[in-house]
Amino acid sequence: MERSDFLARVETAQASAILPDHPPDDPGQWVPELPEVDLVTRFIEMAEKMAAEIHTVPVDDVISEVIDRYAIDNYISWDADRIDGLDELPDGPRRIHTETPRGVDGRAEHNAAYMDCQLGITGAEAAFAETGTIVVRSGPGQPRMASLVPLVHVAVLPRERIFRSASHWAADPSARMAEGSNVVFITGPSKTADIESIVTLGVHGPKHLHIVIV
Amino acid sequence: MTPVTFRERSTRELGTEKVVNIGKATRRKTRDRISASAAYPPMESMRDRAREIRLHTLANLSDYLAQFADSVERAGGHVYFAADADEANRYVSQVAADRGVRSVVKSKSMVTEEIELNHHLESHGLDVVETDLGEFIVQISGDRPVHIISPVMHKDRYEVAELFADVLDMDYSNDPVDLNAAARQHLRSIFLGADMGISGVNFGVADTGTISTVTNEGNARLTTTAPRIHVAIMGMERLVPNAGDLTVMLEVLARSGTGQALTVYTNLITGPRAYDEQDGPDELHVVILDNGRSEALASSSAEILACIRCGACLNVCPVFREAGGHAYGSVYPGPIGAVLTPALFGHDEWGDLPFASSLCGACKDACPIRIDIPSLLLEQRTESMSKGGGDFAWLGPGLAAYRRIATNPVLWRGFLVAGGVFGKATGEWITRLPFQAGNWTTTRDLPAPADQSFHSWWKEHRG
Ligand code: SF4
Repeated sequence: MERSDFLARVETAQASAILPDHPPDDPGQWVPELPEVDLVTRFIEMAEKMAAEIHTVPVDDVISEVIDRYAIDNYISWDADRIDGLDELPDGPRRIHTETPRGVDGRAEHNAAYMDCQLGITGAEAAFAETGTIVVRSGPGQPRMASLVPLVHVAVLPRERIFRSASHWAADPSARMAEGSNVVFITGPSKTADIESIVTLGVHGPKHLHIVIV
Repeated sequence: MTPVTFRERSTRELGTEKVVNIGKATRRKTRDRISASAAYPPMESMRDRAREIRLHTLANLSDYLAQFADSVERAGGHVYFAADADEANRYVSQVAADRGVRSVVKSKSMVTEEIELNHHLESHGLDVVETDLGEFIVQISGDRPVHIISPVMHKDRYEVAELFADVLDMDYSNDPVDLNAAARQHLRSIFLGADMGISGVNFGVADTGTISTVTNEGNARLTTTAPRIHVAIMGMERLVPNAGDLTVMLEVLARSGTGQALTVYTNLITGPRAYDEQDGPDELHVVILDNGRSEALASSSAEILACIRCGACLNVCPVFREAGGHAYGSVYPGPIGAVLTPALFGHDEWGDLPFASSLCGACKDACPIRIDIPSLLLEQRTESMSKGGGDFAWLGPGLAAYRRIATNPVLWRGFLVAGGVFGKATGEWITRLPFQAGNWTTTRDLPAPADQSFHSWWKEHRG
């Protein structure tokens, strides 16, 4: 249907819609009223509740520990200069190339390298204390796949970027929700409860989420 | 013969193991929702706020749709306005044909169930694979989703285990961890080789053209990242004005739907992969679907379009718990479905669904948007009857009397006392009504009189 016809039909319909209350003309800005807390403490409490593991030691130490613990031999990462507090990327395991070919050819072959991807290293540009959530944005040097396909995800979060809640973040000018083709809020590792409401981790996304606060 | 009415379908379902599973799962979900809300003091004010946002958006929908479409296009996406299921389906298969698409992955989307998109694409020779674990189980077992959030709530692990041992390359196991791992492995290679990913949209943000999908598994992220083309299908009512409104809706949705503070992955997409990004789809298409929504908007049931598909009203509904989702015969079951289905698709076929309710008011209490579902059910009943009786014509005079009695607390109590119901009420629900109304409760339960919610909602409704 033509856009103009579609919109005209909606306009006619909404004119005769019977809605219960008088909806406000402009809802305006709103954030929930929450008690004042120490943001870092609350974030750690909630993120751990969501089955994330939190670290407050230097990033490089966490990455070495993770590589040992999960016997990592390949990884996918943001560029090192995109991650606060990270000096250099690990040189032991093999780094998977992330520049995906455009167009019809070569994409499936490229994607096949993600099949058994083990570790992903990314930054996190903000966090929500109330829900234990991190915000991960795509951009140059910041591939989406790094927080998505590996078994283990290590995300580096600057402590001054922890907001009280998602709404507090959205109200802040730094949020720029539409910058980058993808912004994802991550709250704990991938999970499902589809079978008999039993929670199991690591369905399509990472099974282990490590957040390093720097 | 295929059953065509709610009464026939529910008779087939009642008491089966399937609905016993549904009863258990819905009670658990209700407990989770209540504790998640109790643990979050601003929840009640957030619900008020969410309701304002939804009603404001509906009252100004055409403006927000125009703004949203402009914003999607500015971000480099294509927008298509589909008047009905047929137009939407044909647009998607045309995009696929023009771009040499062979394989399609889908993340869970009720609107694509509504338009039967899988069937359409398969008839055009495409491979379509559902990637949400529950929807995948539905697909390989040739079943239908039983619930809008938990599609396989009616199956137990033994059934899934047999299915997977049969269809996937795995040894028999009924451990959900093993079943999950087998599905991950199987679906991962399909994801990575797919040409097109199709998702629904939980909310579209008008001022930025952002679309959001929420999943716990991460399948919507893979669907919208790995293939070279992403097609998002959105019911036209699913907009919010801006980012701040979006975060309110997301929290309310997660706490009401699954009792989580936020869903594990809230995926926000604004346009296709940018020129300087390393991955993501080359193309983004957003299909905005009417399919009966403008008729519903123009009706006295317009409020139903404020629904955010959280499933809370299904979980508390005594009829849904006893009869299950398949009894409704619609992709939208439960209280929301009993209003939405006839409002969208007409009363000729679906006119009996609004009667599949005891009007107990539990759905209204549970609804995060505080949608007055019981009144909307009454509106839809009136519509059904004015548009020609069907097998529920006998309800006409009885219902009028019922309304008169039920709207008056004194008469209502008198009615129950006279029928001796007080003596018979055991537990939570009245399972048999006195006098001629006995007909009514053959397939319906009423809340016990101790529950004040019926009176209070009606009082509120009458002002
Ligand atoms: S009507 Fe309310 S409770 Fe039911 S699915 Fe919609 S938003 Fe949820």
